[in-house]
Amino acid sequence: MNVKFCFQVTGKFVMYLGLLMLVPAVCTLFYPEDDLSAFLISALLTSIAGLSLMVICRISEAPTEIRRREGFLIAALCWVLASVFGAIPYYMYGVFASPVDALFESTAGFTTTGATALVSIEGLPKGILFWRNFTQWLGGMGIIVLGIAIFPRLFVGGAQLMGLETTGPTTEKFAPKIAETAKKLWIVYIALTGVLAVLLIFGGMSFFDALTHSFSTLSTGGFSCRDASIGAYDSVYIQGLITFFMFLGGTSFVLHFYFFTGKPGRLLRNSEFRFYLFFVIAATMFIALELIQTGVYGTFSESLRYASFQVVSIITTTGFTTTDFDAWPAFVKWVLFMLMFFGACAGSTSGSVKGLRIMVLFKKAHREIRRLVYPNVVSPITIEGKSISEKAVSSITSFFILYIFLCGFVALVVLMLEDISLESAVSAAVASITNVGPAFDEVGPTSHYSHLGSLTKIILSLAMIIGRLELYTVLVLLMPSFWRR
Amino acid sequence: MEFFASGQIELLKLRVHEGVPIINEKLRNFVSSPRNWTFVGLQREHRITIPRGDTELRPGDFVFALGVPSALEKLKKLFNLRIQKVHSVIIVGAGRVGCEVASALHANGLSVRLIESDHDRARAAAEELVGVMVFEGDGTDLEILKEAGVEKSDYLLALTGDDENNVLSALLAKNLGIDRCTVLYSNPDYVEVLEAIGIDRAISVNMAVANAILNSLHLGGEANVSLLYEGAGEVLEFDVTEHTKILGTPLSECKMPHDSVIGVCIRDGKPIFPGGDFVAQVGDRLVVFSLPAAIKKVEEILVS
Repeated sequence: MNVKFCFQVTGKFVMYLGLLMLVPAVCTLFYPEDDLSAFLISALLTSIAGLSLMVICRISEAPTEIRRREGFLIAALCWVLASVFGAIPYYMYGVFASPVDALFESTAGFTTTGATALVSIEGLPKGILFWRNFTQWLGGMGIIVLGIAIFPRLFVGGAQLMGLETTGPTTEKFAPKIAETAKKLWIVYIALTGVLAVLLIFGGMSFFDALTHSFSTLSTGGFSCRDASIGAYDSVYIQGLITFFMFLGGTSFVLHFYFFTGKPGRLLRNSEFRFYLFFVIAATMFIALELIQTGVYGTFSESLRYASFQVVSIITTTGFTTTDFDAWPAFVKWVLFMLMFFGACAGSTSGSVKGLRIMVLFKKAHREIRRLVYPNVVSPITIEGKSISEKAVSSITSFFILYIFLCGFVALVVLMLEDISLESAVSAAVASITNVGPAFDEVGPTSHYSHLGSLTKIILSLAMIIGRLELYTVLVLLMPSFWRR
Repeated sequence: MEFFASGQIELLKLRVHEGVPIINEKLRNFVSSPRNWTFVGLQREHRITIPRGDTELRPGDFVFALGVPSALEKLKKLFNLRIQKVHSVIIVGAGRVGCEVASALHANGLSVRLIESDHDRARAAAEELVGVMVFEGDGTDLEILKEAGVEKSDYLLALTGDDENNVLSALLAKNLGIDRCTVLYSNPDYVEVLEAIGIDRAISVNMAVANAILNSLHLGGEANVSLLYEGAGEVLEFDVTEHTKILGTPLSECKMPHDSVIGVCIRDGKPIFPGGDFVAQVGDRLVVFSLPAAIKKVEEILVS
C-alpha cells in the first residue's frame, strides 16, 4: 500500500478545507462581529498544514489507480483530519475553553451527527454559527460520494448492493467515473438546499437562518443556530417544510437524480424507499396516537405535527427537535430509540444501519425460521427480484452484529467514565454511532454534551467517525494484515 | 400424449386394465357414433400392431387412440383412468429440462417443488424460478422427498440426467403414495421394463429429440412425424395436393400397406374418421399411424 500517496491526497484535501474556511470569513463581512480574524488565522494554518503534508509526502509518480486499501485509509484520514482542523476556528475564537470541546463540536459537524457541546448557541457570532452548519453541509457532500461511489467499491458491509444503480460492475480500480457521479449528485444536493432556503425565507425566516438550516437539513446533520432548534419557529409551514426536506435528505440521492432527470417512477419502484416511507408513516401514526392517548397533546393534528417531525428527524438521523421529546412517555421514547438504528436509505446523507440492510436482515431472519420447517430449502434473498449473494448477506449480518456490539461497548466506556444514568449513557453512545445527535435524559434535546468529561467526548467523537464511515472502513485499519505489504 | 394437425387431434396411449368393459370384445362392436376417435395402434408384449375390426383387447395391453381431445376425455373415463386435475408437482433435477418444465408448470398456476443435489445449480434455479420452492439434496433421499412433500403431491417428474436415479426417485415417491410419476431416461435397454415396474410414463430423451428433429424436417415439406415407443410406430402427417396418388380413389381400393392406417383426415378444419369408402380431396391433411416397416410405402403413396 502506498501510505505516502494517501497522505498526499489528504494533504490536498486539508488545503482545500483551509480555503473553505474563507467562506465563513466572507459571512462575517455581512454580519460584522469579532470572529473574522479567527477564520483567517484558521484558514491560513489549515492551508499551510495541508500544503506541507503534500510537500512532505510528495511522490515522484502518482499511482494510476487507487486500490481498495488506499481507499479505506484516505476515507478515514479525511474525516479525522477534517474534524481536527475544523475545530480550529472554534478554538481560535474561544467558543470553548477546551480544545476537546472544539474537536467534539467539529466532529459532530463533519459527521452530520449534530450533537453539541455548546451550552448556549444564540449568543455566538454569525460566522461561527455559519461554520457549524457549513461543516455539516460539507460532511453531507462527502457522505453522498462515499455512500454511492466509494463504499460499494470497497464492499463495506454489503454496500456493493447499493452500487447497483450507478456504478455498474464493481472493480478493484477506482474509475474516473466517481468524479462524474459525484458532480451529478452534488448538483441535486445543492439545488435541494437552495430550494429549501428560498422556501424557508417565504415562511418568514431570516436569510441567515434559512441558509444555515437548509445546510443542516439536507445533510441530515441537525445543528441549529437557535437554542430551541426548530422549536424556535412556531410555524406549521416551517416545521412541515423541514420535515419534508429531512425526509428528502434521507432518500437516496441516486433516486433524486433519477427523479429530476425524468425517471420519477424509479422512486416508488425502489423497495428500500418504500420500506423507508412505510416506517416513517407507521411510526408517526403509532406515536401520534400514543401522544393523544396519554394526553400529551390535545388535538390529533397537533399530535401528528410533533410526532411526524420527530420521527423523520430521528429516522433520517438529523436530530432536529421541535419539542422536548425526552418528556414524552417511555413507550414513545423507546420507539424513537429503535428508529435511531433504522436510518433512512443507502446513498442518502443519513447515518445508522440503513433500510437496505434492515430489509436484508428481516428477510434473512424469515428464511432462518422457514428453514426449521424445510431444512434443505434453497431460498436466495432478493431485493426487487434481484438475488443477493450469500457473501453480501453475511457481510450485512456481521455489520449489524458489530454495530450492536460497538454501541454496547461505547455505552460501557461512557458509563465507566461518567456518573450519568443508564438511559443517558446508552442513548449517547447510540446517538453518536448512528449520527443522530441528541439523545435522552442528561444528553436529551434540551440538554447538551458539554458536561461530559474530555475522554468521554473523545470516545464519542471517535464513535461518530466510526459510525459515519460504516464501521468497517475504520476497523479495517486496526487489522495488522491491512498494513502488511 | 401428443398433438397433431395443429393441436386439433390428440394421440393418447391408454393402458387396458383388468375389468375395463370392452375387454374380450371385438373392436368393431366398439365404435363411437358420431365417430370422433379411432384406435390406431395396439401394443402387446412390447410389439406394436395395427388393430383391426376383429381384434380383441386383453388386460395389460396398451392402445393408441387418435381423436379430438373432448372425445378422448370420454374414452379415458371408459378406460377407468382417473381424470384428476394436477395441483402440485415435484420435479427432481434442476437441469435445463427440469427448469424449463418447472417454469412452464409454475406459469400455469401449479405448485412446483424442485429437488436438486448440486448446490450451485439449486441456487441458480431458486434465483431464476421465483415462486418455485427449491430443495437442495438428493432426489433418491427419502428425507428430502418427504420434506418436499411427496406424500401430498400429485405428480413426480424425475428429470435428472441419470436414468437409475430417476427410476429410483420415482419408485420411492410411488412408495410414499404419490399418484403418478414420469421418468426421463436415455438408455434404450430400459424401454421394456420401466412401465412394467410401475413407472406410469417413461420418456426417452433420444426419442424426444428424434421426434423434434423429424418434425423440423417436415419430410419433404409436407408432413409432421412422431415416433412412438422407441421407434416401434410412427404418426405421420401428409397434405393432399393435386399430385397425391390416391386422389379420387376410395380408400378400400388404395392398396395402403397393411401395417398402416389413415387415422384422421382434417378437411376444412374438421376431423373426419375415414372408412373404406373415404375419398381424399385436395387440401385434406391426413394423419397416418404406421409401423416402421410400412413407412417407406406409405410415403411412396402419400407424398406427392
